[in-house]
Amino acid sequence: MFKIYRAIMGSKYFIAVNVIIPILMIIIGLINDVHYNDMISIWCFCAACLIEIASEYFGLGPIYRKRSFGMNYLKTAYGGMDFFRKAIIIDSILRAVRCLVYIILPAMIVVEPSDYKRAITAGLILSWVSVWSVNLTRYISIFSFMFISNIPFMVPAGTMYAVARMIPGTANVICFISIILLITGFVFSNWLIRKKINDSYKDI
Amino acid sequence: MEFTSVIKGKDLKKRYSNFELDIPELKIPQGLATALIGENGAGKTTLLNMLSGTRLDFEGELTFFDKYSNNEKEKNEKIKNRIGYTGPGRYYLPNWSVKDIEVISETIFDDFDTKEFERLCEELALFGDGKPDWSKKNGDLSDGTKMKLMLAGALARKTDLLIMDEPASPLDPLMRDVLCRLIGEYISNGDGKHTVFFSTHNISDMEMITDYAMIMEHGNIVEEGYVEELKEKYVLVKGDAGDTDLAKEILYSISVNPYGFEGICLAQDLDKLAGMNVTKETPSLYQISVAVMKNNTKIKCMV
Repeated sequence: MFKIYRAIMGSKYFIAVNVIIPILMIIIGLINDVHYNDMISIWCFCAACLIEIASEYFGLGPIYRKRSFGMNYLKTAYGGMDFFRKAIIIDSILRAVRCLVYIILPAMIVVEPSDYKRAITAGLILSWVSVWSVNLTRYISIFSFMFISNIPFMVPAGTMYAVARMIPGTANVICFISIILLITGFVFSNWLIRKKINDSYKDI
Repeated sequence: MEFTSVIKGKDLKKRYSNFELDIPELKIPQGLATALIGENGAGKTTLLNMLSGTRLDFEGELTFFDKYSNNEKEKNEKIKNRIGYTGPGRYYLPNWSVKDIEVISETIFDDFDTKEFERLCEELALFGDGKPDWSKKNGDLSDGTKMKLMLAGALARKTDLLIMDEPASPLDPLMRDVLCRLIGEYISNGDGKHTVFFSTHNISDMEMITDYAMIMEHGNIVEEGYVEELKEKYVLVKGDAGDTDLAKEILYSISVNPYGFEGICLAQDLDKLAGMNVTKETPSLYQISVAVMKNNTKIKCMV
């Protein structure tokens, strides 16, 4: 399954989002965690959100559009569209896991264990941003539009992080909300891809 | 002449805002290469999309291999995988490399032969004269090379039916000849069970491989038959300029120059040309299809 995920997503996407972007994120995380300045931390977190959202640019592109590249080929195989659907779901899961890993890892290097909660909160927020935003960025092929269209995700994410960081006692609530958003993000992604696959067989 | 049909269609309909495909009866003979000929916008791709399963929103019934409905075909892996399809340029993702396409094909098709795929890539000169570059991206290939890649992918599978949408269009004359040879080998290796159904708007390059032809105009099949039978049904007539006005009333289609006329006549109307100084020849399938399309087209400047 992982082999087909890697083949369907393409090697460029795989290297960009699983190697290059995590290294960038770890560097951002180290700056964020070392400086402890709230404003720098929030800006760093927003930069991390932007990078994670933009990673889809290296991916499938607007594949859901009617007559999109690659859909007819997959439709000629009995399990073709099912493989594609599974690859998208694996991508969603990997996004969440990846975000948690490269947010928490730099925190474990440079901060005190008592501050791990901030990193976990940031990781959970970034996870749901990544899982939710890709449902929109997959429709957009122009890079600049990709950023603009994801303001609805970045603004609440940045706000949640700022609240968790600056208002004591709110981190647990923010974590809980983030977990709910992450789960609903998986459910929505699965529903959306099924709908889009069914719609692609129709000229509507 | 009756034949076994690999695909039968009944009351096939598909509507768009300014176009309707309406085919009361469709029969594609098994074991032959059938050409679907039509001008741009005739409905060829629409029909092929319906048959290949890339579009499922149409009315009517389809029967595959004399037994299976369209629904059964879509839900049965063994039946579905008996059919290969190549489509217009938007087929593989542009960021997929040749190697990625091989890996994906191997995973989604049980009968995909990677050695045969690699052999076909070389036979179709996918990489030109140079060293094979399996990391080459599909998006970096020319239209002709993309088509070659699609053909290699489809022919590397063990199928009984190949549905091909304009396979010759982006190919150079040499590769069209190779394509005809590959189609011929595919059919002859099938022992009467392998069928190719392809669309084209330029039959002259594929005529040598075509056994059966269907001519399509604005969503309808307006003529069909074995190529040899069509060549008996229609006659190419050439005559003098003086007889042009009279010939226009009789010929199915006509083209005129200062020296005379040339046109296609139904064989049954030949006796109406008695008294004129005309020569008769066997028309090519290209000439027959142009005549039939001219007679049925809605484009005013062609009439």
